[in-house]
Amino acid sequence: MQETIRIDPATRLEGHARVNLQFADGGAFEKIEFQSFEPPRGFERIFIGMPGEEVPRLAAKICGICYSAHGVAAVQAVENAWGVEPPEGAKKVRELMLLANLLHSHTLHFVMLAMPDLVCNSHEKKNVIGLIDKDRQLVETSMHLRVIAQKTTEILGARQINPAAIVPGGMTKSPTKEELDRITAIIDEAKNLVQTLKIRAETLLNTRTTLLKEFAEIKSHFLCLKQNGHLTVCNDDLELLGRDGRTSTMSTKRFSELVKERVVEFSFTKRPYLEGSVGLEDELIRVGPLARVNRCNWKNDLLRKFEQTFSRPTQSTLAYNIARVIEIEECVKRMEDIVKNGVDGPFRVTVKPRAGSGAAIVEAPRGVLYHYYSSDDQGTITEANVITPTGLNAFAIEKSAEAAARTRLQQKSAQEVTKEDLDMIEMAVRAYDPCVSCSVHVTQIERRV
Amino acid sequence: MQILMDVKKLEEPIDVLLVEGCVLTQHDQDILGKYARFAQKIVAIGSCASFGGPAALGNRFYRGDILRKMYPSSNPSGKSKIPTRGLPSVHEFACPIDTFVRVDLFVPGCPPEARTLRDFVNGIIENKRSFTNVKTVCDECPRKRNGESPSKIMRIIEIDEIDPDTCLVEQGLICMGKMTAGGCGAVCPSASAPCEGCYGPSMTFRDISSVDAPTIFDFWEKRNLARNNSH
Repeated sequence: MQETIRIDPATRLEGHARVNLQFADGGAFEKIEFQSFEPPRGFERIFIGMPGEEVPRLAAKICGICYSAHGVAAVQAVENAWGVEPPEGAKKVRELMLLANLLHSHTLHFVMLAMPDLVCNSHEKKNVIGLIDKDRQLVETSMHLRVIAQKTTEILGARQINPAAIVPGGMTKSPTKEELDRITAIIDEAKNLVQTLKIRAETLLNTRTTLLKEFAEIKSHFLCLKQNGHLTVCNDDLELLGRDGRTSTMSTKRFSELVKERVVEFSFTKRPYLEGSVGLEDELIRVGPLARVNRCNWKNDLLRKFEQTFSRPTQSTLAYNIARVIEIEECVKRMEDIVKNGVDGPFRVTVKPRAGSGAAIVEAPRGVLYHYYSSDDQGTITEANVITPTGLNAFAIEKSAEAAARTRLQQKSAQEVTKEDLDMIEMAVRAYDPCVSCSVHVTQIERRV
Repeated sequence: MQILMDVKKLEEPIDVLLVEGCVLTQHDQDILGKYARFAQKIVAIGSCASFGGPAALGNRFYRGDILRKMYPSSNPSGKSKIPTRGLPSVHEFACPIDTFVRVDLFVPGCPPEARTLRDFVNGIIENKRSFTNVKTVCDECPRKRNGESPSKIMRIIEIDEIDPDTCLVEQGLICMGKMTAGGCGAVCPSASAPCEGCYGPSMTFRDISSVDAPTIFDFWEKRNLARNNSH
């Protein structure tokens, strides 16, 4: 009989998922299924019939981590549908909110979720409590950084989580000079705090080199928004880096032609793939920090060290963790630039809805996030679609876990698998910082009759 | 607390069980029931656990319809392929957790504001059942009410400049503050964003059917209907 070992639930990731290891009849490890059983909430069905201006606030509630990313992607898509151009001030505020989102999410992941795997020794100690024993300063620093990110969101969006001020046409809240000064001051603090994370990342590069480079490696395509000289979270151009190393640039408008979705029978998360892929291997696509860092040209000393270890572009799965720290620093730099160059009103214009459809893509912490809406002439939503980064990464997560299992288990039978083996397999899954609840929802475009 | 900890199985007494999220699958119900047996106290954290939250907005549709839309067939003529292998069944309705277990304390909010969480921690230490003493969001809102009814209902996107000092309802906006339990500090209306009722019905306003989102939808439908009729 076939045997299955389950890592159930997979922990230190967002949402409900398990990792199923399948073994051949009395024999060796065969394959892995990454199964998400997060309840399908049906957001895009709920959007239909709502006034378009209500969508961004509800969309923010798709995820308790990437609320700003969902909120901003949704509002941009609705604005595109209605042909609205928000004022520059509002665009800057939204970009700051996206960056603050990335800052708190990456910090949470690198320190509290990923670090225990890399620095805590025993199975029992691999959690945030174990990490506090080992490196209290790092945990405290990360909490401080997260407070800074959440404060920024609160100042700009009225709430720390699920910002309320996002509305088609701009922002309902105009930041005052005092508030912007406060942001400048806390970003200044963040610059110092980031150094602690960088030192830890450098240590990992020096001490865990082979593990980071080789463990759970797979070969995939990468997709991200075209990166300018700074960490770019909003852009109209996408960049696809092929498995063969070739890159192509295209408008974000072509996303829906580029990415198709498939239902798998064992998971509530659907599997997007690149249209025109030849064979399963060719369908593997990755988004997120590694995609962005592979394609960026930022001036960053940790990036140089990253390059020395992995070369660029790299296919190393665990390089995701280091890429996150590079992005944390770039994120703080970009926030500082925006605030220093001035964030001036007006922050909102009035909007007249019209019949139409529009899409938008932003870089969420975990990668490209796509929202699409269409509305009737009153601005009532008639179609909605969301494709999330964890959905895009789902197949790669499975294949990376499989690569990890092959390295760890070799010829072991199901009975011989140890806790430590399973920890290592989970670590490969965790490198992607999967956010399972986001990835489960209605993604089929529906037409209202 | 799956996101922070690495506990795969929990089989020891729990002082306070914090539950986030509504119950939508059999797995949700099973895991809630199982942990509830080990718990001294059960606390619903956030509006999903307390009232159903956004997922409960889906209760207005047949769950089967939602699922068939989510998981269509790969060929246009075929049947839908709702994933089932090794997966829990999905309930018809998204329900708050007190449908299934006794709840000692509700901590509402989407998300609960920091001040609400602080009150909760104090509340649980002092063994309180309820800790909100502000009746409605309006009671905390700094905006002034002049007692005038708006001449017409406005959409926020139509208003040129939102008066920062006057009640949003009096400016024609649909703000749920009057019917919603306070405790949040009126953060949304303070930022000119109408209250969407995330703290749930105020204790002074017990008729739940009159405060949830369908009211807005009804209004919206009627408005569209009226417009279509007038053409």
